[in-house]
Amino acid sequence: MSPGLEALVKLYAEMHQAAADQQDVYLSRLKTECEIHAKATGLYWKDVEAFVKRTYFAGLAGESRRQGRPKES
Amino acid sequence: MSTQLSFDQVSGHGLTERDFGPVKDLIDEVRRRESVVNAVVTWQNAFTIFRRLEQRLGLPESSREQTVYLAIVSDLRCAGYWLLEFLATQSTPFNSTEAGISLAALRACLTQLEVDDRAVFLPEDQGAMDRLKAHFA
Repeated sequence: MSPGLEALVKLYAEMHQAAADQQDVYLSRLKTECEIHAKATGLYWKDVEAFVKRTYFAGLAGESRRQGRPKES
Repeated sequence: MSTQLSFDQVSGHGLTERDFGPVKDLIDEVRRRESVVNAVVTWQNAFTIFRRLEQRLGLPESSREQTVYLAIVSDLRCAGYWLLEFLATQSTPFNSTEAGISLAALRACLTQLEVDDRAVFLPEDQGAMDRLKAHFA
């Protein structure tokens, strides 16, 4: 994972685990960061964030597999 | 359990229904605001529970999981936008300290629910996925 994506995933993780009343603070920071990458790729910032979200959850799933915990159904 | 007192409960203190006449509008307004605060708190709880479940279960994979996930996201978003619209058009400004969330935070939660949709559908947009993968490689 590139350092840029890693930083975004870290920020996303903080936002995902923050309380509902803190979402505006985190979203503002994340949106600013995503917009930089959106400009570079010609995509919408929400697509960049969606990619970051997928990367975050892929990391969580990988961690669960390493710890031998199957995905709950 | 309802926290509202009925007329019968307070009439034992020597008050008659006529005594409440001048403050009837105020009582109705307090009850209405109490209902709004309850709705906002309930929505916040639903959003928090959704996030915790998502953290625990991960993103949906199968078609069936995606259907359920997107239905929950849609319901939350629909109710949230309705609340936001309702609060924004109130004659008395919404007091966020009563409900524990500001309008800005509520709007941010709703924006996140839009990203949730995109995160599910993103793999189907191969062009966008390829561009993002190449950019972050």
